Amino acid sequence: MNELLKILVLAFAACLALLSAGVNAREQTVLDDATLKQFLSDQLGAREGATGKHANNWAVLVSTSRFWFNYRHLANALSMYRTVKRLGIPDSQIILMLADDVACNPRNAFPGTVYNNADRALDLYSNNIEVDYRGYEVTVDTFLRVLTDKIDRTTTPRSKRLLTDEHSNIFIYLTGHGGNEFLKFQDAEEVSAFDLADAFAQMWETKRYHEILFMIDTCQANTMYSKFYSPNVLAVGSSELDESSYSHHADSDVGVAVIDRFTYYNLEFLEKVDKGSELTMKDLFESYDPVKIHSHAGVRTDLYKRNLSDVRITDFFGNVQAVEIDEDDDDQ
Amino acid sequence: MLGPESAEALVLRRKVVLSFWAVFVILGLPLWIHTTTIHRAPLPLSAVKVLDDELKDGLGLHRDDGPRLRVSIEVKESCLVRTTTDEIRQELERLVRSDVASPLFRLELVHRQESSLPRYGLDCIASNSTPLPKTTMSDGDEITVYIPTNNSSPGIIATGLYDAFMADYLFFNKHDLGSNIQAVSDTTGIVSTMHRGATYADAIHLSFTLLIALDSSSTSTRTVEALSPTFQSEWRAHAENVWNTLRSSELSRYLTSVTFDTDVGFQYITDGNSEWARVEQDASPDRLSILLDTWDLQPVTLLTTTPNSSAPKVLQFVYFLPPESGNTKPSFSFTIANWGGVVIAGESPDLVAAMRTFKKQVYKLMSPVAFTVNDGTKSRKVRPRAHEFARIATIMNLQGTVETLSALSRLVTSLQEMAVPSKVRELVDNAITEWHAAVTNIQQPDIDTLSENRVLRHAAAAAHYARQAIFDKDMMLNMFVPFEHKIAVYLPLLGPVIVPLIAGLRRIIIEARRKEK
Repeated sequence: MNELLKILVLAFAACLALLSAGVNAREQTVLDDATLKQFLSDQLGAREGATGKHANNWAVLVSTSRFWFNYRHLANALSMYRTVKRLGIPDSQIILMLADDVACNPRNAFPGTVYNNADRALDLYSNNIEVDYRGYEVTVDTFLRVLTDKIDRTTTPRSKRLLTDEHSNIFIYLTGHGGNEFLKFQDAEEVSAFDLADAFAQMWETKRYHEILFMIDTCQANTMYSKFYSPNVLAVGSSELDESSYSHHADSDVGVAVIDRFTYYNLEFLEKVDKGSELTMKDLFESYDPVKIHSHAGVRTDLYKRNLSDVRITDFFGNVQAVEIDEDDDDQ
Repeated sequence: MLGPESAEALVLRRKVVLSFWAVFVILGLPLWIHTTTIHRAPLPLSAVKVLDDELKDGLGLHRDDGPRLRVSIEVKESCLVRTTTDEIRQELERLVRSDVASPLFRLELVHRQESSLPRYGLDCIASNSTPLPKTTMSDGDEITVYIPTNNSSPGIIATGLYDAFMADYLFFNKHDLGSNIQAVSDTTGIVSTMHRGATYADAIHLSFTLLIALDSSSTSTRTVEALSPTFQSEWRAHAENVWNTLRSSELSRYLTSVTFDTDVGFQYITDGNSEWARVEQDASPDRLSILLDTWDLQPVTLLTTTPNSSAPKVLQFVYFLPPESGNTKPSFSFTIANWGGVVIAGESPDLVAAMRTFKKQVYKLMSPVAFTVNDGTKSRKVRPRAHEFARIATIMNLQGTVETLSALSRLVTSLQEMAVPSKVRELVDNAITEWHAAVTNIQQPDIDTLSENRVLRHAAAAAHYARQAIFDKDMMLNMFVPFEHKIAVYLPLLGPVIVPLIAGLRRIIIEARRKEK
């Protein structure tokens, strides 16, 4: 018996040793504070164009959940979709990924519609939405390929690509079920905080963004941005480690919860914003009330060099075009 | 209970155990390592560094009779002290170094005195700075800092381009000295201006759209006219004429192809209350930029059913006819970088004038600003010529190549979990080969007599290969797998195999030791 025990311990130790090697190598890529600061400084110094000015806006809105009872996650994403469209981002600059189709779900008492409020005043699934990735197309691989543009260009139309450049501000919104440093896709796979951080690093190196606003509404959401290390990323999450995020209310006729609390209160604020609004991100973040949200929303600003009181909501949620008036001139 | 093991059984047991170990070690382990190791083709990172160094060194283009950059700053100050002249010189050096065409220039600031007004200059050579003489001025004096230009030497870029470009940018900023310094140091503005245009593309697709707002409350004569087949065919004819003109112009030497689609040329909106229909009330730039948000003009390529992998860059040109009622404004136009241009018709739609504007916008979008050349008697605006386009685009592509390959090096070095297919290595090698081909050609003294497209094509090919390498779809990062997941997967797999193997081997070793004793 003792011998068997020794053998088992040996075998277990061997397995642990093999597996630990891979884990340690990956986690060592996370930068400590001092190194991170130096890294950011070097990165920003190398890119002279990383000023406060951007030339266009994009949005990547992802609902990662499948099944009818996750209706609220799709409603979250569609609500954000409606908001950014209202504030001026055109469909050609929005990537909308919905992992399921609740509008046409047989359980939907109101077929062809999606509501984010029990009063059903606003149908989010109207006739003017463009879903770029739907159903089983919404995978971790697809999501990361969209971000990094490592996509098969022979088969993917331009409308499904994130055609950003170094002057693009990108609003990335994720909603679904998550945990400590992971977000679940389709109830089958996960994307980790490390993968997201490395994706952003690739985007920075390939000059695919000017600034990113990363917003995530899941359980333990704040852990998803804990591994970011790329410059010019402003991150906000709905809940801390070991905290859940909750739905706001249910619709008794629909039969499920229709919106999450964090998204609900974001929308409540954003409804006050129009295209010419001068409200800032600081105003938005200061509006978060843990009592109402039932969780502690977090904001990460160490990677973002601008003062939040100078950053307008429309810098991310709206759109901007760099317009030059033509002058009359005599030319040859 | 079983009896003692026979000698044959003992030998068989040992053979079995050792065979399993042999399979495990010789076949199993290598196979496992091979299938789980991330394939990373070795990239020529040192060669990429060499490209970067060559670019910083100016591609070997500096010559004593090389092109000169003329800079004129008008300064109105009572006194100009040494530190300020130092600042001007340093900012100008930085400006030139960060300019996209900097390898083709060197900065020389010399003393000149040409007019009745005393003029003072700075005596120094950028790369070998000598101490500056102390320079002071008195009230009413002007200072002009400029470099002698030499139009007669062969192989020199027509100085009109940068001469006027710099003068135009700096001269008209008639502010105080502090602002002038700011203007000089705003390299971002200059570089972004130069980057406004479309960088070299395999093809440019020009899309001309006639957009008409239909006022549902009344039937305006303009609406009726615009909807008529005659007007529409006239519109198409004019658009095609512009396309033909551009195609046969010097622009064609700069591009591989310029295409134009005659099928998609007409759109209209029926809601008289839409944002576009209200444009006549407020044609301010902010308002107009918002219009483009609400009217999502899809590039023409999106209308094709087959996705095109080498989809050309599309420039949109929209001619908008607002409702006629109450429209007394003149025609108005604006451009948007990397998107296209819009002309909003005035009181009387003028297709010819609109097309003329579109033509100017095409040049504007594909080149630096129209610049002013001072002939001494008058100033005039000129557009860069094709070979100047080509030179600018060549340098931009070479810079882009180095930046892209350097970024690829950094990514590959820092992300050890990223797979690097062999194809990426080939693309990097191709990019470096094309880069050297471009640089070799650009160093020829008779470059102006060569077909610039040859140099440009090599540079563009280098940039193209570099971009293909960094965006290769197979160069993906392996997903992070949490430790507990690995335990959950590997332990049930390895445990039932490892335990008997170790037990069997241990028993053999113990028996062997006993036998020795």
